[in-house]
Order: sequence, then structure tokens, then C-alpha cells
Amino acid sequence: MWHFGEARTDTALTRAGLWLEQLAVLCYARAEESLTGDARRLAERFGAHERAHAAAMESALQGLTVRVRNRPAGTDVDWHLPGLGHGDPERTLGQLAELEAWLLTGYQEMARRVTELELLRTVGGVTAGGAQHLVALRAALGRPLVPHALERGGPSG
Amino acid sequence: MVSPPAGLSRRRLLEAGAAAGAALLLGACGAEQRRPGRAGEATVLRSLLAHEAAVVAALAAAADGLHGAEARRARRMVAQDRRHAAKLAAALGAAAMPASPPAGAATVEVALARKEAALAAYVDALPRIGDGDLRVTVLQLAAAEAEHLAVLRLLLGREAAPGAFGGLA
Repeated sequence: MWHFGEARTDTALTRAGLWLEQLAVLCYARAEESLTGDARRLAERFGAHERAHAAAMESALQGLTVRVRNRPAGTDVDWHLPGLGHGDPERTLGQLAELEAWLLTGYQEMARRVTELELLRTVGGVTAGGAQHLVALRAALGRPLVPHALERGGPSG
Repeated sequence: MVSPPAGLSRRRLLEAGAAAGAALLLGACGAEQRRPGRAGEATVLRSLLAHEAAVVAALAAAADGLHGAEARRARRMVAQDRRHAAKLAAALGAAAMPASPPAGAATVEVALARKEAALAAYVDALPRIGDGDLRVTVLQLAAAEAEHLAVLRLLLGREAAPGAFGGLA
């Protein structure tokens, strides 16, 4: 994911993680508005999980004595997931699965390049949560639940 | 022997983030950061391999007690776990997976408990691996284990993702 790809320091990598988790919060909120029933409840619950992920990343960033700079806005949702919340439920859930898969890829890039390895405890927990979101979204979409032995994220999501 | 889950609660994850920042700050003040060595990595990989062996034994036994699509799903996960073990063994330069511990009662619950322990071990391993490419592999394996956990929960009629951090609590 380009947000991680452009980051050159641990601070920048953690900032990228925080920004993307905040973006995920906005994406689930947008999706929630257009969904009903079980799909809506799933979006509500996972939106709360994304807030917890963002809090974990923010805590890591504050530990680096760095302040949060930019926060994503609605236009960032439009840019990353065009039309989210305006299609049928299957399209909306598919876009959320795409987001989760790309987040997993991004954290793998962070894991490769980070120098303060203790940050990876946070990354590992957030990755575990995201991977399970992916399974729930795949189940809702009728897709294979665990298509690959290694979860690389990205377009395979 | 199956290790209990490492107990990575949300609070611990938050604390870990703050601690990581403090360590980085100290490093910036002149102290040379210590990278995990190859010997330490091998110890970590051997532990993960033992977890995979325990998971394969339990999940294969549980699959024998399932039918139809559920059995096929469980067997597919067993096959993926064998690939995980092969990946770890290759990283270690080892020939094969260690002997599997007895699975005891062949239930999905037993497999679930061993998966939880394996996932906690993978997350705990990440800061103890110095090689960046190997860290990526371990994170990919951790993500796959988290997914397997979600599938086992679905088999038991539970929510796939009950917590924000994969159920590490």
C-alpha cells in the first residue's frame, strides 16, 4: 500500500498505520449507512474494532512522542473506495474486503522495514483482527474463507 | 506440549505501542539498538514449528469427526498448516516437522485452543526476528492462523471476529 511504501521512518510507518485505521473507521461508518440487517450489524461491530486499532496505533505514535498530524476525511473515503455505500450490499461488502486485504499488505510492508521491533506487537494484534474481518466478509459474500496458506492480502482479498 | 495463549489483551497491545516508542527514543539518544541474532531466531522458529505440529495433530483429528463441507474445510486448513510447517522448517534448514503431541479428544474445541496458542506465539515472535523478509513471512502466517481461528469459530456457531485483536486476550 503506497502509504507505507512512501514512509521512510518508524514514525512515518506508524503514522501511515494510524491514518489508514482512521480511514477504515470512516469506511465502515459510510458502509453502515447503506446496509441493513446482519450486514449492517457486521459493519457496526467492525467499525468499533477499527476504532480500537486506531487507538492502538495512536498510542504507539504518542509513545514515539510524536503528535497526530492529519486525519482522513470523507473525500479520502471517496478516493480510496469510490462509490462506497452507493452500490448494492455485495459491492459494499466487497469493497470493505478489498480495504482489509490491502491493510494486511501494508502492515507486511511495515513489518519488513520497521526498526523498532516492539512496534510489531501492535501490528500483529491489528493484523490478526483484520484477517478475521476478512473471513467474516468473505463468508457474507459466499467466497472461500481461507483461499491461501499464507495471507498476503492485496488483490487476493 | 501446548503453550497457553500469551494473553495479549487490548491493554497490553496499547502498552506495547507506548513501550516501543520509548525504546525508540532511547535508541535515538545514542544507545545502539540490539537486533535479534540468528540463534535467537532459530529458537523462535522451532517454537512456532512445535505449535504448528500441535495444531495439525488436533485439527486432523477434529476433521475426522466432521462431515461434508465442514470436514473438507477442516482438511483444507490441515493442508495449509502443513505448508506453514514446511515454510518454518525451510527457514530453519530443518528437514521435517517435529513429532505431533497427542490430540486428546478429537474436537474442534481442542483445535481452537491450539490455534489460539499458535496465534499468540506468532504475534509474540514478531519482535524477536531480525530479518525483515522472515518477519513478513511470520506475519503472513499469523494472519493465516487468525483466519483459521475465525473459521473454527464459525464451525462452532460463534462469531468469526469477536474482538478487535483476533481474540488475543
